[in-house]
Amino acid sequence: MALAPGGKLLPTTSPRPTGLANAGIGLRTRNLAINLTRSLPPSLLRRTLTPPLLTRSLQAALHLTRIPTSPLLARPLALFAPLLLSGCLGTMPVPMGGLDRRLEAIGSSHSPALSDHWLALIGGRGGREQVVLVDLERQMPVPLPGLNRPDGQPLAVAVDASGERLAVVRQLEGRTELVLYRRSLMALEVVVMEPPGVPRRISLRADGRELAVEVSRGGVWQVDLIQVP
Amino acid sequence: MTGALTALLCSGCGSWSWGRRSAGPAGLGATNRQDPALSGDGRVLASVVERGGRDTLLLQEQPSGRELPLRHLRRFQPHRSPSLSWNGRYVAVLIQQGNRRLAVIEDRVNGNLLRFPLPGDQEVERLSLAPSGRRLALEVVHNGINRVQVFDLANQLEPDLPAGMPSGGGGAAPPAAER
Repeated sequence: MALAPGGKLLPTTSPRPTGLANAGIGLRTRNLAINLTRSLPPSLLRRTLTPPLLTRSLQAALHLTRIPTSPLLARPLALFAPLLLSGCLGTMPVPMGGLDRRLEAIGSSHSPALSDHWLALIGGRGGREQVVLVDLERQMPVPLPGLNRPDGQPLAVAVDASGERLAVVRQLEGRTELVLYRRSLMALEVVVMEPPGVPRRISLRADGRELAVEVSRGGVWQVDLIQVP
Repeated sequence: MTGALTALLCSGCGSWSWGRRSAGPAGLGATNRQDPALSGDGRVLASVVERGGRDTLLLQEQPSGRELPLRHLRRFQPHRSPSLSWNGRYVAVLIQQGNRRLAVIEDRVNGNLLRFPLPGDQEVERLSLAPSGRRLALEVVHNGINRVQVFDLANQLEPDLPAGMPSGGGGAAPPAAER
């Protein structure tokens, strides 16, 4: 697969894709083969299109092999044709188009943290960035009252599976701090680094009860595991 | 009741109520440890440590610290921005291949490696994998602008869910996988 400029994932014919150009050529070649086979009589195709131009699965899917001579065999093969084709072309992951437009509206965005129903990120326009929490089912940002401050600069964010707890590293009044936000309570609590250190990147366990924090202490980066009460 | 009240009282009274520990030794010769990522169940910790002068992904069982093997991710350094699925089956990380940075997902159960090459004018900076493995978020830089994009992997990866939770339909084998 390859990611196209619009975010679309293109299938490749090789298990080791070497680049977008090759992936695109592979896709176009197969599309051409399919269009060609649809526009020509099968008798002519059997004489002209032989491997390697057509793969065995593509031949079978298009009923070009000699195997499905019986209608009893042809029917199940027709049912399996999409499956055979998908194995041949690869299944394309689907970019979340509606969500993509929503995210584009935020402006620039970075530092994503994904749970199955929530996407937390840092985004904004004109240099003013804030923590954004997107409900992936509704594809809409939800309010985070009390979390974002105009004088604070968020640096990293993590979210638990329920979207209830967010951990945020932010710069505020010249210092870098880690805070834990509980959405239902709209409450913010500073998590003190002990021994003292400067937090940077964070990860939250799915149930929100454990934090992994990258901390700089004396010029060395360490990882702390913090149980959240 | 008493326990809940104690937790409530302690939650606002300072840092002493937060249990803390270091993630422990990062391995032979490693001093720095960065980019932590917990699996959804908290039993696996991924981090990036220096090994032989190269930033290398380290996967450890918690709390024992036992190192877990990786099939593909012992090379293609530097590694950065790891992310784990619920049980740690899927390990998503950025690797370096030639002069390009690439997002990949290693399936620790069947050894597959799923690759996400980007067009030449885009560079991936960070990633995050949903605990089920059904979605992947990439932070992509294009024309100097960072943007987060989310991709649906429901047809690419089997869901990695908590034990006992029905999967709701399995996924197909990754099409661009190496075996």
